[in-house]
Amino acid sequence: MDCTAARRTMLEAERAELAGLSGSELGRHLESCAACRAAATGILAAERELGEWLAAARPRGGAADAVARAAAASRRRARFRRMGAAGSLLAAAAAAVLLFLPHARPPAAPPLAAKLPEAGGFSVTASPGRDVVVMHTSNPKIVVVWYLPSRRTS
Amino acid sequence: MSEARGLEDAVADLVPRAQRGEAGALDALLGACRDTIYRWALVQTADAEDAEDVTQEVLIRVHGSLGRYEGRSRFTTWLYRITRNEASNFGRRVRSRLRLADAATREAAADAASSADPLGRIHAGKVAALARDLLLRLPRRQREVFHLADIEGCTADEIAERLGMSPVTARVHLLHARRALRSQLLARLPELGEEV
Repeated sequence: MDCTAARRTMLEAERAELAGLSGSELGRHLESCAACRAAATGILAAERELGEWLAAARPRGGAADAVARAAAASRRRARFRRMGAAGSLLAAAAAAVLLFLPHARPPAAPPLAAKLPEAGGFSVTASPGRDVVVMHTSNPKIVVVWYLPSRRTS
Repeated sequence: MSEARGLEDAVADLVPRAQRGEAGALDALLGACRDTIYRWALVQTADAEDAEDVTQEVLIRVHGSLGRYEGRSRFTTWLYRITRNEASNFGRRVRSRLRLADAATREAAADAASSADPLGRIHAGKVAALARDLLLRLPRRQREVFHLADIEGCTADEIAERLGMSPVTARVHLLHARRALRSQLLARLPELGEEV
């Protein structure tokens, strides 16, 4: 292996290889080439520096204070979640009341039992359980036929 | 031992105690995890201040959801995923990658005078600052894999589990990361390749 190949291999090599701890071709080259050995040592040192820097990295402030703040925030969020859940339940209950409880329905369309004649009188038949009121207006062509729930008891 | 494995051992008894609601156990657990979460978040966000915010958010999440941890994966894997999710959410809101690189350079310059020189002729502060800068400029996925493999010492299977990718994909990301980092190091610090 020449220096060009060694430098290329070095870029992806395991650290053990760079340290000359493996019997690889690169390792053998590093034993015999001081310049490449220096490059490998430099890479190892830089990566060791990285590790030391990261190992020493610490967040600011004390852990106890950070944990206390996190606990308080967590409890606050849990409270909001519970309130949100309660609100959702209330909304769902209200929707259920509106949808499912019996309430006054708009009068159903009357059955088309009334037959208005071209002129003169006509007969109206109410469906079972209903009464009917017929109201004549000043316009002889307009007659109001009103079907309503029967008040009679059978 | 990788940091994750060390943490796993350290909190092995705290997790069930905290889940049972034992007094003080949850606080102790969060306190034990905080520095590790921060370092993970630092790698994820590439920004010290963002990492602080992500860390706090992760602590809140763990406090609120530890009861839902069922032990199907290792605790540190679960914790890593939460950190990753929070960092992703945070990253969508804030982007300031270069701040840490600038801060790292300033920090290196400040402590350069007092530091020992482990690289012989080459100034350690310069190398360290450049290495940090290069790491933080890597694409996020490469940064994560490089950190887990070459700094934390995780195996390919562990990386694959944590990042939700195949070991082969993890390996590909690792090789890309090494190549990018090392080629830049050698290009920008040509003295690294000179004989001592």
